[in-house]
Amino acid sequence: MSLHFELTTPERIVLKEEYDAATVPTQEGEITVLPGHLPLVANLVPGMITLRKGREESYLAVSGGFVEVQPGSKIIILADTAERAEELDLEKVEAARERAEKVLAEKRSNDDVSAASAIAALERELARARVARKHFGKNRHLPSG
Amino acid sequence: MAESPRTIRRRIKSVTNTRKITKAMELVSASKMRRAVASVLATRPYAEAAWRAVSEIAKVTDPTLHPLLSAKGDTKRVLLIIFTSDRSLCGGYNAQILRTVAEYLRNQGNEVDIIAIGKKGQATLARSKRNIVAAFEGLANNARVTDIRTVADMSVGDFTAGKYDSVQIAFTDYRSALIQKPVIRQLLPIMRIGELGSVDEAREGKPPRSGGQDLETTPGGATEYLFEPSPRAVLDQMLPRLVEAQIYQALLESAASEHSARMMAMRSASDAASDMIDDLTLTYNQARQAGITREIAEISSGKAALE
Repeated sequence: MSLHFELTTPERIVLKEEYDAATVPTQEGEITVLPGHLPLVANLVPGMITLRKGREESYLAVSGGFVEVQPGSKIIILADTAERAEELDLEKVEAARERAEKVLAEKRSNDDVSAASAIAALERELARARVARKHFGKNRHLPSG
Repeated sequence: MAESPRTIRRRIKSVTNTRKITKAMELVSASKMRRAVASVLATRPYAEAAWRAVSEIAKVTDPTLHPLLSAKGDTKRVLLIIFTSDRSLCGGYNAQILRTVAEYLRNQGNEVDIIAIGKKGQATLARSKRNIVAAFEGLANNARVTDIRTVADMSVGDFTAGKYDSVQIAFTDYRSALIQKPVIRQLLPIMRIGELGSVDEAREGKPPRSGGQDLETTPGGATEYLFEPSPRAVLDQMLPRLVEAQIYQALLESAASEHSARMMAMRSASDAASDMIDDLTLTYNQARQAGITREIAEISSGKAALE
């Protein structure tokens, strides 16, 4: 029995495929969803989604949203933004992360709203950086994949 | 036929150039329209899934307790978000939506504040001395959700703070390349599921879902959902996203309508230019012929005078 995985953002459907297991970062901590999981709705936090199919793993970066596990081994993720690891460019992501850190350092002293959005931006970039590193790192060590 | 063949020829040339431009604009608008329509369709799964989750939540908590869902007794202050285009040359597109809005404002006894998206609407409403609280430009092309987040945050924030009793959204619904219909819908308090995705039902000819009890009716029956951390916390996160998705969809609908209105306007301009060129060519040939006849007459009469 496999897990039907769907990831949508307001702009597009990012991914729609069958997997064996999905690990998603929720507000209460990371959870792994296997086929037959109880119906669940949870808030998503910025982080990395790990999808496993057989022995192969693939990664996605998300920046908040929701995860809905439906009866019948369906998992639907509504993400604010989402990128597949292949779409990420490690250098660009690192640069964006540094920029976000700088912005945060400036904004921290100012008002709450801009600091909050700076934190959100930083969290998103951190998640992207982690996914990108994992993806490209994996390719380096295991060229056969 | 007072015009000389030379000036007619010049006019033919200028009309031909105009036709080239309108033709190009028509093609550009057609491709932009296709892209906008595709993005409208791409937003639907997100909104649908979010609504499904909200209706699941509705089973375990009373969603009407949430500030974004609860209607207030009487509405006094209204916020109206209006989508128009930044550029003109799009037929009756802006006039249509602004006429609908003007009518709405006439019938509305309440105070209405306006968020204007698009230069054209902004200019017109400013001229009629409406209270514009915010204005945005340059959103229509390849808009992303983050572009309208400010609008969404503003409307949700002001609504929750009690500054407005209701938020309405005026945009142009894209029915087909030929038909675009200006509509005004309620954004906040959130009314019912039928509001979202009704565009495509209209396009497919199905009747739109009726409102009212939609929050209670869910397909699938009685499966118990777990909510983490709590139903309320999920709802708190979900509803602003839904508002965002709805505004985003309105923006894309408007963009699709704008482009198709422009496409049609440019097509009829190209057709008119073609007609005009035909007319002018005929006139030109007549004038040329008249000129030749006159010259022959002059020559022969000149010769006759010599003899």
